[in-house]
Amino acid sequence: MSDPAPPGWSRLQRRLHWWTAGLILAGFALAWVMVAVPLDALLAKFLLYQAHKTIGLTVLALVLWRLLLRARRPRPAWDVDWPRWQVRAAETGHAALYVFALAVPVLGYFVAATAPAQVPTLFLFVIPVPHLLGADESAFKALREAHRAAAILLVLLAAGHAGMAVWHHRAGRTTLRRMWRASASP
Amino acid sequence: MRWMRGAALATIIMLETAPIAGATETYAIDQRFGDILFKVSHLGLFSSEGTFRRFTGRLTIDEAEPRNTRINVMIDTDSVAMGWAGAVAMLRSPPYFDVTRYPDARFTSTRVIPERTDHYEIDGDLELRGVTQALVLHAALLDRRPGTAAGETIADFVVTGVLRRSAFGMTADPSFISDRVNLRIHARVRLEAAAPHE
Repeated sequence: MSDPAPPGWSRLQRRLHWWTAGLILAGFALAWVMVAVPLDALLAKFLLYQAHKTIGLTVLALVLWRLLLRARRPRPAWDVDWPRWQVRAAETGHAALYVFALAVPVLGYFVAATAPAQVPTLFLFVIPVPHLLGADESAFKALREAHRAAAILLVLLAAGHAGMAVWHHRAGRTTLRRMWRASASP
Repeated sequence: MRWMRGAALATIIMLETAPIAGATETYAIDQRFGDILFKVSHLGLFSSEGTFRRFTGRLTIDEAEPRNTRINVMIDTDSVAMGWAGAVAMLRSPPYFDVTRYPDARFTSTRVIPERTDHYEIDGDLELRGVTQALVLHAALLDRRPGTAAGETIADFVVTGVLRRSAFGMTADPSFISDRVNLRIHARVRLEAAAPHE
């Protein structure tokens, strides 16, 4: 990119980063709860699923928004003391995070669409989201497994990402601080 | 609930063919064509539909007195089906159809009343979960045509009705599953119309 690298992440980028992180964790935790709720508490189960779907669709929108922002504004410069392989590894990890943060909600949407139970997807509990596919038991089972596996990978990637950020932070770098605050001089 | 198809056709046949005094015919109601659907609403936002796969019935036509037409249907509650396996287990459980204690549901007509052209009211009693309640069904003739066998008539009916599940003690999860249950039955009647009978 021809633009010079900005000194840090924009306020919007930082906010979106943390919202995405929080929502992914919340959606992941909610998934295990909603699945475990018994069928004799159908209303609670229904509401938990709708909350999970709402979170997923929100994550999808936020990640697309973040990719748009990244395309318009280059990321801050990598620390000069990083070896090249480490930058490569970080870039690969970030790309994987974006891919999985998009794939998990998309897969989740198709799980909901193909589910034999045919429960509608209601964004924020009220806005119906059309299902582009109909009930299909075999597709549903495969998609559900893919959604689950991708979600677990996403959370593992995010945990690795957070671990690396903390590791760099303890090494005295600005990696974590500049995602938290605007001015992040060491 | 093939019963209604039978009832309606029976009525038609009685009205349109020369009745023979005192003649009655009993027909087994064939479940191969048709289904019994029930539908509940969830929060007014969407609905779920289930079916019964196995049922048997008898239709008795009294040609002299159409109002004496009798329809008896027995439903195997264990045959309850829904697209989603988890729901089927739930529907079989004690809070719902309780299929172990109540393996059968029964409908017995008390009278069949022609309403207007091709429309019939079927009054009867439904026994479900050991509770018997009056149930009114409405049958509409969709199509009537000759069958393959000589003199045979095939008629397709759609029969609708509404019941409140709480009336039968099925009170589970009222916040999410509507008390009102809409019934819709598709039925085909095949009768050897106006066969002379002593």
